Amino acid sequence: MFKYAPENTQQLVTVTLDGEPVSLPAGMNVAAALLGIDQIISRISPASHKPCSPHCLMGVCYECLMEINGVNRQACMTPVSEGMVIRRNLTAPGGNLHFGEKETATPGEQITSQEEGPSMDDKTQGASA
Amino acid sequence: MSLHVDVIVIGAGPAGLSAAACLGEMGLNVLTLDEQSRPGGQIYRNIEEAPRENLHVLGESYTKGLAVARRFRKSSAAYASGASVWQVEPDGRVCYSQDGKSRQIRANYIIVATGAMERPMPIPGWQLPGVMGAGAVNNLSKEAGLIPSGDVVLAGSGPLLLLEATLLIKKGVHIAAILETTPRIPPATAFPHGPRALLRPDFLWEGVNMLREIKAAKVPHYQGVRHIRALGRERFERVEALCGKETLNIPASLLMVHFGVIPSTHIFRQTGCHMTWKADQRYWHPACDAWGRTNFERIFAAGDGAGVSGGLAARYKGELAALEVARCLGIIPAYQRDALALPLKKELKKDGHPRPLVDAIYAPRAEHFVFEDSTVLCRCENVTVGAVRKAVSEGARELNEVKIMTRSGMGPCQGRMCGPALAEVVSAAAFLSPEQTGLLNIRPPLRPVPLGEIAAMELDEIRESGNWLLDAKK
Repeated sequence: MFKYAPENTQQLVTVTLDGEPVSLPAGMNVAAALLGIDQIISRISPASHKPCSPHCLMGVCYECLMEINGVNRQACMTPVSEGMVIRRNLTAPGGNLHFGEKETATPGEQITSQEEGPSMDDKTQGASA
Repeated sequence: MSLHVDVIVIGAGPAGLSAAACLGEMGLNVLTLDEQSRPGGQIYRNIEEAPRENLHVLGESYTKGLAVARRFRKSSAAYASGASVWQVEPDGRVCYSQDGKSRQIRANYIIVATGAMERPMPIPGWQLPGVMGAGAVNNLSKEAGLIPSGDVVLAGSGPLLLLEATLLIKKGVHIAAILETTPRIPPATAFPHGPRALLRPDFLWEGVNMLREIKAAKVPHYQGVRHIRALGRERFERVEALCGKETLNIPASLLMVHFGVIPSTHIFRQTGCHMTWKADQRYWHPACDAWGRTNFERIFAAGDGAGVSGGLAARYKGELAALEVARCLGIIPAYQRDALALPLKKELKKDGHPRPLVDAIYAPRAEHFVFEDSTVLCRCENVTVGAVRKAVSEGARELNEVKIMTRSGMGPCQGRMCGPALAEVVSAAAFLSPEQTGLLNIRPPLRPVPLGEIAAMELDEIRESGNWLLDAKK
């Protein structure tokens, strides 16, 4: 969906994305760097169970929340660094890729599925609202 | 680091940088807290390391930021990047998180320059991957040198939508269509502002050039478009809209939406600043005096966060707030403040000449807020417009009641994305004005912070009240 402008020169570092090593430009924010290698899905929404992609890229929308070095962070506000471990949990039961069948989740279902998420409850950052 | 400074400036866009530089030059102890990793805010994003092509394509409105950033770096103002403020108290206490550690710091004065954000506008399918804010694409280009590779559709309204279109054209991006909700003929309310705008022919010329560039690139440009819908199964595939009696159906790989900009107000609301509803532009902003002082003596608002007036005006507003803070701290007398402020106020006025015209042409229109029941309003919690209307039909009259009933505004973004539209839906359904339905309550932490970080904080001894200015001098 995106490509680098021709004059772009970057210093690449190796990070782990969902268990696989990938090269990303050092210092660039994680969300932009992933869009640059055509990884447009940032997470599976725990509420709708559907894939999300970054929307605002300025720290407002929280659509790019992903587990970075063990903590759920806004990828657009986190610079890429060598050895970073990024997990998007795209196949987690809390938000699986086989959406289709759960088109209209009731509030009850949403709560259960959030609790089932393997890494959401212990690592999600503090209280919101 | 010292736990007390003279002034904390929050945000490092044009307003924050100018305010901090001005205060630093006067020898005050200033700390600038910026949640981005580099100074510049949104308009001057990545200005210090911008590749030459970006400086060329983005033009003067961007390159002006170089001088602002240089002046800031040259001053004695301290800069903390990646510092997310998560609590601001009227007595001058600020809590922020940086590099996985939270700190509390106090200041005699706080200048909040958190800028503006794109107005989030729920349209059907806006939650699909492949639908992004036009500002987001602009940011990608400034910060990462990334440009859209496939067909792009731009939809919405506002001068920045057209500006972004011309930037994409210059970068060789293929724009499948521009779908402008603004009608071809400006509303009658715009005409009285025409003469004042003529005082800035340079600005009007820029606007005309923008439209000419779009025309020259043969980009299909539709005006007065209604019912924009993003369609696709797993991700955005095509956009559907009505233009006159024609139904448009345009396939594309990326839909860029933009419906103007509104102030980012979370810090003001958490602090408890009085908020004012700007009826013609339909947004809330903190009530403040000509210097930017809010109802709290120590808290100032500067830049677009205090009311949207653009990047250049933000610089003047930042500096004006700084001058008043310097006077309050006894660094300059009132007559010197006024003397220094005079040229700034003149420039501010000159810069503002075209603003009423632009605001009137692109004012949010009632038809923007005709939402479908099935449209997702709160993206975080997947709450639809219909669910919110149901809560109103059950008796809710205030945004916070609706929040409790529907969970709209309870997700990680803390109502940043749904709040403005939520107010529109609730007030329309309840036959009230957004002033009557109120604002979502904002509580600390303003940004999600791991609890362990808060537990590990070193806290200053708690002093309940008292004058910090006097205390510091003792």
